[in-house]
Amino acid sequence: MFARSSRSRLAVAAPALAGLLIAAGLAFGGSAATSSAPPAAATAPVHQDYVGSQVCLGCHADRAALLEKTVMGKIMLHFPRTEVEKRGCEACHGPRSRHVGDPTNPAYWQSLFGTHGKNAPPTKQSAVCIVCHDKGTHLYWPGSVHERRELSCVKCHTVHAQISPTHQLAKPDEFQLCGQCHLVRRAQLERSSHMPLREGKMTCSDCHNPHGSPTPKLILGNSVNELCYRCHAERRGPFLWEHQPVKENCLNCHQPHGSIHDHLLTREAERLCQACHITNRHPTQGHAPNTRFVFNRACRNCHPMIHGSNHPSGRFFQR
Amino acid sequence: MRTRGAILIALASTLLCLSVWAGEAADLPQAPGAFETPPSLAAITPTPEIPLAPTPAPKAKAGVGGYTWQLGYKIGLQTVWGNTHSSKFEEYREVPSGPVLDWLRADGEKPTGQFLQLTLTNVARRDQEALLLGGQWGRYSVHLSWNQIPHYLSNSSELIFDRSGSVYTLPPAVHDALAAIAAGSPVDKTAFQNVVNDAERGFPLRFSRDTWSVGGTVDKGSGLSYSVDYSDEHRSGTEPIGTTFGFTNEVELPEPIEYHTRDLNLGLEYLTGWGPVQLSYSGQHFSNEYPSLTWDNPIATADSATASSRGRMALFPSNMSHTWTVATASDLGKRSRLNATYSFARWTQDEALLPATINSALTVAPLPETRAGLALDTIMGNLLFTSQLARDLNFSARWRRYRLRDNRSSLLFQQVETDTTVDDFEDTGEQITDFRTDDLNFDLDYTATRALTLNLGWDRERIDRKHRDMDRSTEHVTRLGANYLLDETLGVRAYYRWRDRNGDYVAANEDQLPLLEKYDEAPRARREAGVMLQFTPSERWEADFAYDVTLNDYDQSRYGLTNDNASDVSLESAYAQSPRATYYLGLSRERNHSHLHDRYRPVDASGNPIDDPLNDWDSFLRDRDWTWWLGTTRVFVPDKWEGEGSLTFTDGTSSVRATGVPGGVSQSQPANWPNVKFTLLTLDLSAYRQVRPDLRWQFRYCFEHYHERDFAQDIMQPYMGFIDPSTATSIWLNVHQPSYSAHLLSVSLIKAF
Repeated sequence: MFARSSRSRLAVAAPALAGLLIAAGLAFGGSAATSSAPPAAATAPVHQDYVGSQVCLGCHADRAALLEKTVMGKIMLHFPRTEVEKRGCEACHGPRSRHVGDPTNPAYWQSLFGTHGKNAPPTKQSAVCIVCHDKGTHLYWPGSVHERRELSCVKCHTVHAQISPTHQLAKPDEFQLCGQCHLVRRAQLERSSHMPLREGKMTCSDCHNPHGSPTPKLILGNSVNELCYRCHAERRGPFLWEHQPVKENCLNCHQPHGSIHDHLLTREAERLCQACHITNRHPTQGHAPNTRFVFNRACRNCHPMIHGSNHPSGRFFQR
Repeated sequence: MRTRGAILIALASTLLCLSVWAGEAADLPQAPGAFETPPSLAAITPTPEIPLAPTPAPKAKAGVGGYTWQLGYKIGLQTVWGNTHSSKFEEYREVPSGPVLDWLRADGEKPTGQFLQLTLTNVARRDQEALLLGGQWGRYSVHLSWNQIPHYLSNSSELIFDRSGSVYTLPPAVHDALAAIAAGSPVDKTAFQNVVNDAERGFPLRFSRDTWSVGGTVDKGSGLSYSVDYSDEHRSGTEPIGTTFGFTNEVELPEPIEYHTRDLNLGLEYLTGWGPVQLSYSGQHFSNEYPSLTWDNPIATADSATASSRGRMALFPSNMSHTWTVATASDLGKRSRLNATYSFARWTQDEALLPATINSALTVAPLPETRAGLALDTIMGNLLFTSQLARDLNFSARWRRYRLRDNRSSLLFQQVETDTTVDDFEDTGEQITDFRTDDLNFDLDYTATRALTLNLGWDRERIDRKHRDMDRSTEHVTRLGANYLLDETLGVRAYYRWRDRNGDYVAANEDQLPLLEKYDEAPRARREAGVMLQFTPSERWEADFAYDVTLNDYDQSRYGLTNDNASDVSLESAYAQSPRATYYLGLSRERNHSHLHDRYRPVDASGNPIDDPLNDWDSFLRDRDWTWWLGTTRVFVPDKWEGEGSLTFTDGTSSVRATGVPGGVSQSQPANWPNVKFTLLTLDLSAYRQVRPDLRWQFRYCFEHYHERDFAQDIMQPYMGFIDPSTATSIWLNVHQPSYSAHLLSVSLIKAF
């Protein structure tokens, strides 16, 4: 019924809404710094000139040595591609001529995040990184939940130390990094029914983009189901007989981070089905635990194709 | 096993020689903290982390291929004992006794920036991985990888059928015997059980995902980058599936799995004057070598109008999906930014359709189509606008649409339930899924002080559905939040959300109790609140605390799920007594409660349901999980002896209680089920003896204890007729995942990379 009208509404509503939002923003837009602010170099308190990384290495060889082990360090110090990268240390730290001229003067020391240093507002800290990292998986960072929760890039990443094998994480792996804040998720992975995260065969970013996503919960797919089908392609169908709540959202029945119930189910299997099915075909009474309605795979003892059936006689997911 | 041992011993010798050579060549200097090992919740599972040398490696002389090589590895001997044959112990891994190479990494680099990296993990095991990565820093990279993920489901399963592909047949003598016993009235359960027990053979119930992939990226920093990735996953093995004839003789079988999933991902990103533009394509082809499953009916040897000698069901059909996505973002000036994404996907499935029944004694109408011919589209559009309205005021607005549209024309099939009963024609169109979700979000973030940010948000989510009980539902969400970040000392994040979902519920299925409203679409009031506190009073001590609560009230649902609530509380603290001793401790508790209101609906003589309020009853579901973890790292003798230990304990309980269960009817029995309970304890102790800054010995002891008590699985036997008389002619696989206690003792040599 809404198939045709939705397209026409989309055609009208989307540009109209976009225009409205843009107009509102442009009309009320202010002038203070944002997450996409210019690089630190431009906000340095005192005008300085670039001196080149070789000068920095004279005193900061230890820091540079650590940086050289990282992919970013290799590119910035040895194989730069762009004008910004050619600045090496000063691409992030800004021009340092005055600091070189008067190295003991505290006024010319740390200027990476401005006068507040590590205590600068998170958006100001991240602005230094966003100069280069505004593409790829970072496209959705501005306005994302982690940005709006005041997380800065350096909360999760390091620059001068390589702690993780990849992605410059501040912890040895994503399991520990994300688990710092998402404590209950970390605990859920210890449940009897779990995906192979604690065995090292999956990681958080297999399903989530922590830098933002057009899908809620920072999910990598266009929907929960589209994400799940990447590994569980057999359940995509389409099937001759669909089970609609299954097709709408896998999370209607599953808790992907871990569960005490088999197959990552959110509830005990029989009661999970019974939450929606009170029919007269097999009346819903309080079945005893030693009956075929409850033991083993409960309802799926007889209705195995619960994700959809492709059999002409599979309306009730038995075939 | 012997071959693997020989290979690993040879590899170990080579590695030792290479490490001596590499150590001499690199002459790595001393570095404190070189062997910092992170606390891990996984114990016996080999830790895949690769220690990274914390200090610079001076330029080494060029080696093979003109590359300067660095080598790291972890190789050792280990022994594992206990009840390690439990499929739960091996669920996603292999933990062997004998020589092991946990990981190996070789990195080569040329002065020109070309690099080559080889990483092997869990070598020669069923959970091994290999990655070969090459390219030039900041220019391009290519990769080739191999990954195996085992999944053990049961080592105790037993089967009486012979398998040929996806066809399960009974040995004629067994088939005849079972059918003869089943023909008796009443069925001689002892005789049936004896035949089953005599015929059964053990077989492992497991499958494995083996994936190789190849791909690469080109990014020269010119604003144009490409990526391509192709992978082929082969899933092979079995998993249990329930089959049935009528409702009296379930036959549990190992579903044969021979899946191939091939993925092709192409990406292109171009930096324009407007901003970055991303174009991507993802194609996935899934093929199932066994699209059907056929099996003998143990209690019928010849087709008849009331019994089929064989059953046949459709397994997952082969399918394809194509997804095209375009995304862009642009700074609009005046501190405003627009981010837009549009994605279109098409899913198709055209498997040949099976006949309505395999029972030759039944006459049914011919199929209207010979193939499925199904196609389904999904469309996703997302617009995100962010703007800094004033110095301390940020605004964001998002509009998102997701549409799933089934393009099929309705098909009419005559139903043959479980190959015995011919029913009326049914229309597939009544069960197709077709829905559209429209989200609108607005957020205002106000920076009250340098430390405090306040958030006010409002969302509206509207869902239009076809063929379900609620054509349109609308949910309004009001959100309040606050972030208080006091330098690096204190961080507090809190939120409160009020959600209200409404719509007109009309039961679409005539079999359902009319007063039932399904929880995934029914009107609902949801309240959510949470707080997270991160306290770091000094560099030596930090503490984290988090609490979340969600209350769902399906206020118009008189039956089915009427309300549920969940809460979790977590606490973690770490303390560094000195640079030589650190301690950490944490706990997490999660609680889920739900209430279902049911009605027992027997049928009258005409087959119509009897809706009697006296047959109403309630059940209460309660899940509770605790996880504790604690650990320490110690330096006993600087640069010589270090140690670490961790203990993790998880305890989960699930209970189902019922009240008001109607009595006096068959199968209406006590419904307070035994609690489901599991515990997992892991102890991991390691001592390290440093030989060189980049070389150390690890002496490790691990203990894992897993205990599960699940009435639904624990009672399973190949024959259940004495437990549930209604399954007098059913046969099961005897699937168990037993509790286990396992120990691991290992000595390893670790060369830091």
